[in-house]
Amino acid sequence: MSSIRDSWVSLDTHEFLFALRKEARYPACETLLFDLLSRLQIYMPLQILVELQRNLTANEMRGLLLALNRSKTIQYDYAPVSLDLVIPWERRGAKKGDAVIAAHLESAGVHYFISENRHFLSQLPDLPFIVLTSEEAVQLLKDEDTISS
Amino acid sequence: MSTKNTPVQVTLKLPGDVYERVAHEAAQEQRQLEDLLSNLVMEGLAAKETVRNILEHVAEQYQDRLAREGKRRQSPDEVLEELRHLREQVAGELYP
Repeated sequence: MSSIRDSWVSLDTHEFLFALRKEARYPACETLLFDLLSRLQIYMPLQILVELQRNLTANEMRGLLLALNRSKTIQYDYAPVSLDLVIPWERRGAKKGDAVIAAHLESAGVHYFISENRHFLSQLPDLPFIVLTSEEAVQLLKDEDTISS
Repeated sequence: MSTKNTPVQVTLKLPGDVYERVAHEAAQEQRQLEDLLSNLVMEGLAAKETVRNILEHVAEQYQDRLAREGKRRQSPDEVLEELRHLREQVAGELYP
């Protein structure tokens, strides 16, 4: 398994919203975003950016982007991924929205996708990235700290 | 009397490559290694505090708005369900 600190990581839209809601069922969302952001190389695909914009006001979005700019590295992808990359994921059984995300992450070489949605594309074979919950991601960062100390 | 500003001596273990970088930087800036390390720790703490502070502020704004819109008590499952619909809607707009 590649080091999470040295890999591109994407967070599903609800990770941001649960963190800002301080959702009691998923406390690791807040830990990851509020406390561990500076350790992550974040890749932000257009689909997730648009979903966030639909959920947050311009001012809230500005604050979130300001914080995201403090991550270890941040790459915003404002271009839609090629439809040629989306279609194969749909053919493999993914819903269109999930297919778009998968195509984005695949084309950007993202290694970890953080989502509480455990069944995200899990029925599809040969996912090119690993789906982790926020709790698993936080634990992985702690484990890597322990190994490197 | 407060002891908050009294220096405390600590022993620090660093990976060799990190030590070399810090030592190189200290030499370039003609500073004591201890002084530079102390500053780096303080800067690291300040950076972390800033991210949390920024997001605490956003969270407060967001939660207040959700409360005004009657959405603060939405369960996580309801939020996920809304987002599932939104995902398909946005994908449909981006790829009509």
